[in-house]
Amino acid sequence: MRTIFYSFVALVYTFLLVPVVMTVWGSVATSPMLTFPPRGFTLDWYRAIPAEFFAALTVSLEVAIATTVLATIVGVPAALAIVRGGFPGRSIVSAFCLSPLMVPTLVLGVAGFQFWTRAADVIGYNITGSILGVVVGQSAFTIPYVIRSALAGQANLDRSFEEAALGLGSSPIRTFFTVTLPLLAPGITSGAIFAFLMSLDDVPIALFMGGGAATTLPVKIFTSIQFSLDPQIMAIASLLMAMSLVLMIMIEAIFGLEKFFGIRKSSH
Amino acid sequence: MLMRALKVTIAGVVLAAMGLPAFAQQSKPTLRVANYGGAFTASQKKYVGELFTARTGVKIEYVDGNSSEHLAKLIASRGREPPFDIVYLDDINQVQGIQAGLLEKLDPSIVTNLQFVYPEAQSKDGYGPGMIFYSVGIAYNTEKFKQAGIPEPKSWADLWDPRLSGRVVAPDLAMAQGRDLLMAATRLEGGNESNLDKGIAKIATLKAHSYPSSSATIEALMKSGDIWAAPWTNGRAWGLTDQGLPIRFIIPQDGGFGHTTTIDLVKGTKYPKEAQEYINLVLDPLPQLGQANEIPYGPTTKLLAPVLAAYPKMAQKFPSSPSDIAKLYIINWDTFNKNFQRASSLWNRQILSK
Repeated sequence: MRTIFYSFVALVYTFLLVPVVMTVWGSVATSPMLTFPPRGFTLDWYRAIPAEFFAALTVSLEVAIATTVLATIVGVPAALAIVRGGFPGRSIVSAFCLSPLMVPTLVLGVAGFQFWTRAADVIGYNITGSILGVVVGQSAFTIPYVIRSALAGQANLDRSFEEAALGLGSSPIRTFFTVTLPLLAPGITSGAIFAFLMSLDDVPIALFMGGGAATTLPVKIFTSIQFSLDPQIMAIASLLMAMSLVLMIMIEAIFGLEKFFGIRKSSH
Repeated sequence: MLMRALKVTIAGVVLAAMGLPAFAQQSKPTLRVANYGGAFTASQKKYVGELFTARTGVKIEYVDGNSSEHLAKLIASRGREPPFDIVYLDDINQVQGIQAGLLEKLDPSIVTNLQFVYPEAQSKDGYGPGMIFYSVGIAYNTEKFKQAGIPEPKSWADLWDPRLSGRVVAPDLAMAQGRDLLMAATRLEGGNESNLDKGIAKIATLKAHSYPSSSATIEALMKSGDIWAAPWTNGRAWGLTDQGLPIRFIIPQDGGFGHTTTIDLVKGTKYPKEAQEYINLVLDPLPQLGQANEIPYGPTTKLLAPVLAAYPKMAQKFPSSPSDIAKLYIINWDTFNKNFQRASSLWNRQILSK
């Protein structure tokens, strides 16, 4: 029974990891086209990565950081209001805040593009085609991620800590920053990390809301492979994966992944 | 008094410093150009964009995406400030863009190179011309054909050879070569653009390996030897030939298909003059030759015909002479588009659901 279980797990992991391994392997093979199995070893493709890809990577990181900050600033108070605000129709507001997750991102991209093009009549400035446009467009799906994980974090929150702080004479603001926020931190950080990674991964919204100087790396890769699949693209994709891996290893080393994502074996 | 004069001077200098770059930006606009991305944009940037900036000081920003994505953006922003000033489109999308009123006619006194463009690449109504020619014919694996004892293909009908059963692809109708195969099949059955049903019925009898929707997929299948023949573009097929693979590209005797990638001025652009100057440079002989050398697509300017005739090794890869171009069948997109919806639903019912 146990062997069947382990071999099944091994199979699933193989299935998930083979494309990743092939990409990295293909990026160091000497052949200028994709062959199986890849042959030889060279770092030439890494040296040949066009400069635009690095420019696009910079744009991607700027967008990801900005959209994560925006989503956190909007999402955390929204989650608090949904749980604690004693206003009518809270469940409707909650469903509304999470609804963008149920809409395909391509639809969000086209709708966002059309909305902001028209909104330019009122605000006098068209944000589409700029980094701001991509950030605003992506916040449609990053905010719900932060709200959802902050909501999950709240569920385990023991409010007696806050009551104790208030009872001992702490001001509500101080209580929020020194008691509530640290208790919510795992939920918020996991939501923020997800928002960051989702932003780094997004094509449809960045394709419609960006462009020109606001072209993100996934859009650059996507449009390039529609034309041709070169080893340079494997190389840049491998670099991107390496970055995510380093990020994960850093989180593991500093916080421990399980704690970071709020997976606690026994709470309290 | 002195202090006041100093303050005024400082204020003046600061204002001038703030105002100057703003003024400079206004006099030198940035043109936004919607292009395909990847190697195609890279070569246009190299031979047109950078040259244009060097000559005029006007900056060029490329917006990557495929032709239908650009069209979708233009439709979504109709009547507002367009998201880009210039757009490269597939020929079929240009017709849709013109019908939707999203494109602007060119001024021949600015786009002076227009007079040297082959008539086959000209827009009848004065919109943007084709900036490259490419042809769709049959790409086949010479080794596999030899092993199986199949003679080299001469006609579109040869794709229906029973020995090729499961070894050919019928590209999806979303792709140019998929629509061309439909047109070829229709013509084999004696039909034309106004009656595509016959072609659908004919393709339904093709023992296709699959119905791929991207060139990258066809390329992978050709390389691996899973498929032996495909309706394909000259550029893609020659790409594999140049890599040393046993792939050959031929124009069938019953007619290869001629296509252009068009370049258009977008309606509502703030910089019609600069944008048309860019378009003019795209049609200039040097950028046209550079493009053809980088990716095997044929120039649309007549001026290069004698140069290409002197370099047959390069010229054989794409439609390069007036006679090459005259041999290609150019689909009447107006009529084709009117019947395309019906053909697509028939395709889904009769072919994909098999």
